[in-house]
Amino acid sequence: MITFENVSKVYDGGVVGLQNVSMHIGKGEFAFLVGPSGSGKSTLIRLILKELEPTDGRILVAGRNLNTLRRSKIPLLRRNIGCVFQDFKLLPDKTVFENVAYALEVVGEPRRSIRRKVPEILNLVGLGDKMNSLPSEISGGEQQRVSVARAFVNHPPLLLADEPTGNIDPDTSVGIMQLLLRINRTGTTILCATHDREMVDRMRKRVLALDSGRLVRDERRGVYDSEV
Amino acid sequence: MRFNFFLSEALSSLRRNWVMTVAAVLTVFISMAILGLVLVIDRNLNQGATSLKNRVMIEVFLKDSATPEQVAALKSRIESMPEVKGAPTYVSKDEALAEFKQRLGANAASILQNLSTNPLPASFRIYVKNPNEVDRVAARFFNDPIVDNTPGTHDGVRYAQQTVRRMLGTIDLVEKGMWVATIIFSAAAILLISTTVRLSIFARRREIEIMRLVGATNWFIRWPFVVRLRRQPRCDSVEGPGHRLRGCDGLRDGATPALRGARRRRAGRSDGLPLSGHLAARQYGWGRAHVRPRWRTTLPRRSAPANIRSACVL
Repeated sequence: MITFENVSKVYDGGVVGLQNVSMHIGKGEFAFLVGPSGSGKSTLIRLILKELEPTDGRILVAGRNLNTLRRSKIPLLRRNIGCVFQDFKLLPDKTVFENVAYALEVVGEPRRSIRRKVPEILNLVGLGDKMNSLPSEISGGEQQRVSVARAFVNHPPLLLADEPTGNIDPDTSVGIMQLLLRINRTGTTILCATHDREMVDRMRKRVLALDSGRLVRDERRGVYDSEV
Repeated sequence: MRFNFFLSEALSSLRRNWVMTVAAVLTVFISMAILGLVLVIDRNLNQGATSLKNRVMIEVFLKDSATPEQVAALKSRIESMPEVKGAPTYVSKDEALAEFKQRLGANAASILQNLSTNPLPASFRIYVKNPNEVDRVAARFFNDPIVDNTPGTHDGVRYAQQTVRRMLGTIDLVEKGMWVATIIFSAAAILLISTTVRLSIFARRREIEIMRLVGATNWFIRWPFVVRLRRQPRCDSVEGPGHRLRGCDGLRDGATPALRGARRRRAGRSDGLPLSGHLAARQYGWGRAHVRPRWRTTLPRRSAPANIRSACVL
């Protein structure tokens, strides 16, 4: 699903984001991306979204070479990648329902199916009764669930999560992770950047560790810290 | 339904940010009104100047002793001058008198009673193409034998020498001034409007970022703004409405139709989570969805369907 071949990213100021990273994440995998702040986790995620261009190397997403993907097709790429962020990125003046519906409106989904799908996915994340609330009226954990719902309402084959539990208390985090896990079981590939040591250790999923832009570890059923 | 969506988006954002909206409308209105006013003034001045220039005339008075042959010769000489516009008008003595009478109006009869002969000379009226050349053309008649000059002067050739010169100078100055004014006001209008637009976009940069992330095409993001702007300029001035936005007329249906087909098919099946993404993608092929643009308009293709045709469906 995602292949990096010797990818480097140096920012304009000379700051190194990624250094010669090669890795492959297969279809349906669940992978954690760990590493201290500034180690390049966000850079990697933004590269997959083609928000950034690599300085060097090749990135393939679902067999598509992002280096040669035309700008006009970026929206189409992103429609197939669900995104969850630390700060939720919900539209503050739209209700929960509208926020999720937006992702469908963007792809020109007919209104009838929007009315059907949105409550469906919101029930799935356990927010069926908060559909008409504004993001400011619900808790952080709930907001994050809305954001997960929005990311998955299109059933994208790939879901990226950038510190999805960064702003949420541990108990709620478990809920979010379970949600991601359920989504993963439907076949969606998930790449989740996180700081959450406990979560990573408990889940025992593939772990990719970055340190100052280098991929320092890649374990099938890894933990947050190296077991050495 | 898409249009309704854009419209309701636009309206709700107008409602939510009405102070900003009013400010934007006023800015656009005022700057367009001023620019329009400047252009109107410029237009009028130009027209005035042109008609003034067209009225610059040389009148050449002929001696009564001139024979018809001489007059005809002079006429053809005038006609052959490249600076002269059209054929010169010949005003005979009788015509001159008739004109004089008309000009005097009611008093004419009493004055003319006392005249035994017609004292008015015949004349040619010559219009020049370029008023700057009036001096040169006039000078050609200064020494003509049949022109009625008092010896030592050129009083047989009449043209508004000083007036013309002053007028030309003024017109030139005014025209240059209007050019500068037009440029300045256009620049001001463009800057003001673009700042206003940028401000309103900046105020929503977070929204826009999110729209981008969920894969909205640029035009999908722009439409509500366009609709918003569309509603504003109705009250704008002369030059206002269309121009600024004409660029937006050629909108196309963004990239959406590409996926619509696939989505619709997929929609039939998705009941909860069972259908996995990449499975669906495999089932429905990698892109190449059919394209049916919704709006066909004139502008060059921006988000051309060609791009979409080979759309990347993961």
